[in-house]
Amino acid sequence: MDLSTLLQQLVNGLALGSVYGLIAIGYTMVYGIIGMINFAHGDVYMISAYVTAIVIALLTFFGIESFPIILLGTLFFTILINSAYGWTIERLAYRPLRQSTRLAPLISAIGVSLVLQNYVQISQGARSQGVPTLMSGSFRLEMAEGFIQVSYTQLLIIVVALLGMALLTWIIQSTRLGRECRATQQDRKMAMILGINTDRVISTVFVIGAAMAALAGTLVTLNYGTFDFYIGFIIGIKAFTAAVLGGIGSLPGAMLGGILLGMSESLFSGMVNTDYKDVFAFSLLVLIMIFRPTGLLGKPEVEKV
Amino acid sequence: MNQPLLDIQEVDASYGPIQALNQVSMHIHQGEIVTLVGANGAGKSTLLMSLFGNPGVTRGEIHFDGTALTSQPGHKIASLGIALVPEGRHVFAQMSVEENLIMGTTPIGTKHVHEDLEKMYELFPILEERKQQNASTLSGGEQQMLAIARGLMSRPRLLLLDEPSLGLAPIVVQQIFSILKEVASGGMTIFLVEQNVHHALKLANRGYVMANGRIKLGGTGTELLSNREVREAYMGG
Ligand SMILES: Nc1ncnc2c1ncn2[C@@H]1O[C@H](COP(=O)(O)OP(=O)(O)OP(=O)(O)O)[C@@H](O)[C@H]1O
Ligand SMILES: [Mg+2]
Repeated sequence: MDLSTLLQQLVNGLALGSVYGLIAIGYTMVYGIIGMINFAHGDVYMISAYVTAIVIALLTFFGIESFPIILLGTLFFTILINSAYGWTIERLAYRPLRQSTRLAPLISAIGVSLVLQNYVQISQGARSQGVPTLMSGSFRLEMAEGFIQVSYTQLLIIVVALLGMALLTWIIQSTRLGRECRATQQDRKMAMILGINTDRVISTVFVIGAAMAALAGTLVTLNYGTFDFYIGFIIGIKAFTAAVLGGIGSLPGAMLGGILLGMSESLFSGMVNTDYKDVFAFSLLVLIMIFRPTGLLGKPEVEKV
Repeated sequence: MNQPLLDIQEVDASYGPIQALNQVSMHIHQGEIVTLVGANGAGKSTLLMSLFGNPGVTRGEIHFDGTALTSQPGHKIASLGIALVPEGRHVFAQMSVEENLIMGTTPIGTKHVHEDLEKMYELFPILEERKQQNASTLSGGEQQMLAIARGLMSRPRLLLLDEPSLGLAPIVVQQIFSILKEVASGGMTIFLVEQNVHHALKLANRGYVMANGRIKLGGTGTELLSNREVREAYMGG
């Protein structure tokens, strides 16, 4: 493989990985704060694809055709609606189980996942849907032997994802809300003693995760167009892999894991085989679980007293 | 006489089937230093945590300055003016020392934060030297100081301390108690749970003795020390 193909795969991988990273944030933050894997998270992502299509249809129906307005409009509504889903799911399916065994919310999460898939399948139909291409064109970088092509949508994905991650990092590191999240994550009982409403913090974390998934869902739908009620499953497991790769519970880990997974998957597709790229990602998951369960940036589990 | 600041009346609490508090009654007046001593498992920490509804009180009443605590959610207690420095310190390990202190301001907001950080660094100079370090890197004694300072950052009217001498070298214990004395001389109301009866009674005006979830005895330091059971149980005869 020559240099330009390699770089091309890396660029593709970066765009794909930014998406994984955005979704992985939801897995990792929820795991960090209440120690559960939110298996319904991928389906919340799926919801945002449908909302994107609906909002685009509505906006074009009202004669709005400018791409920036459509982009901002869809982002606004997908984030809003996804946040409502994230909040409601936690409230209805997980909070009542907070005092029970660790397994109970996990099973509840699988239930929520099935409910969301079936409800979308029934209300929106089982077949694949799509949105029209709204932004086309690309940059072309000429190289000694060949060229690299970066489409505007890829660039948009990378830029928006990095902005979203930067904003979230700032919130977590430097704001009161962020400190409350970290305190609740590190020692929930102590956070409560200090006057933090930990239930509200946990709700907020679900909302943040769902909002990041909405960002990803909107960008991907605008870029690739098609989706169905089942897309949340595969991409959810990939993003979960990214979270585990980076170290589940670690926010920078989710971003790093996402980008590494995207790039290696892309390189694998380019150099070996596209058909087996999912197998590749899941084999990676198994290998991390066996050889480095704490991931790249994760800390070994500390027994809490 | 005016009503007590903290008034605990015939409180029961349990962990599942295990009853940890049984008809516990005690009170603290504004400005008093009161200690609670008792053997391991007597229910001392449980009593402090029951103020925060964890475990919940199944019978009896707890009032703070006239407000019933038992009907409040746990996170509302701090904003009434109660700070707990828990057993085992519970500092936020992955936060810096200064962030830990800022977390203490949660009930009152950050309007006095700079002034109060200065005060804490004056009281505990070691914390100023360590302010950028993660709390996990502090020694046990430093963590205890951080936990106390974090408690004070909410400008509480009642400071609850759960075994601040636990696991610390005698010299550090001495240091911590002299700082507590300084805090007390500023008029702070303190409820001190201790196994170190000797230290506790030097600081406190009066105290209670707890065993098996019940208050066995209450009185001034000299009264408690003259009690034979107390001497045998906690002072080695
Ligand atoms: N989370 C819990 N779940 C079940 N039982 C508990 C729990 N915490 C404490 N207990 C039990 O309640 C009783 C009182 O415990 P508590 O921690 O209040 O004692 P303590 O007086 O603070 O002891 P120590 O001096 O060792 O700190 C003990 O029998 C203990 O085993
Ligand atoms: Mg105790």
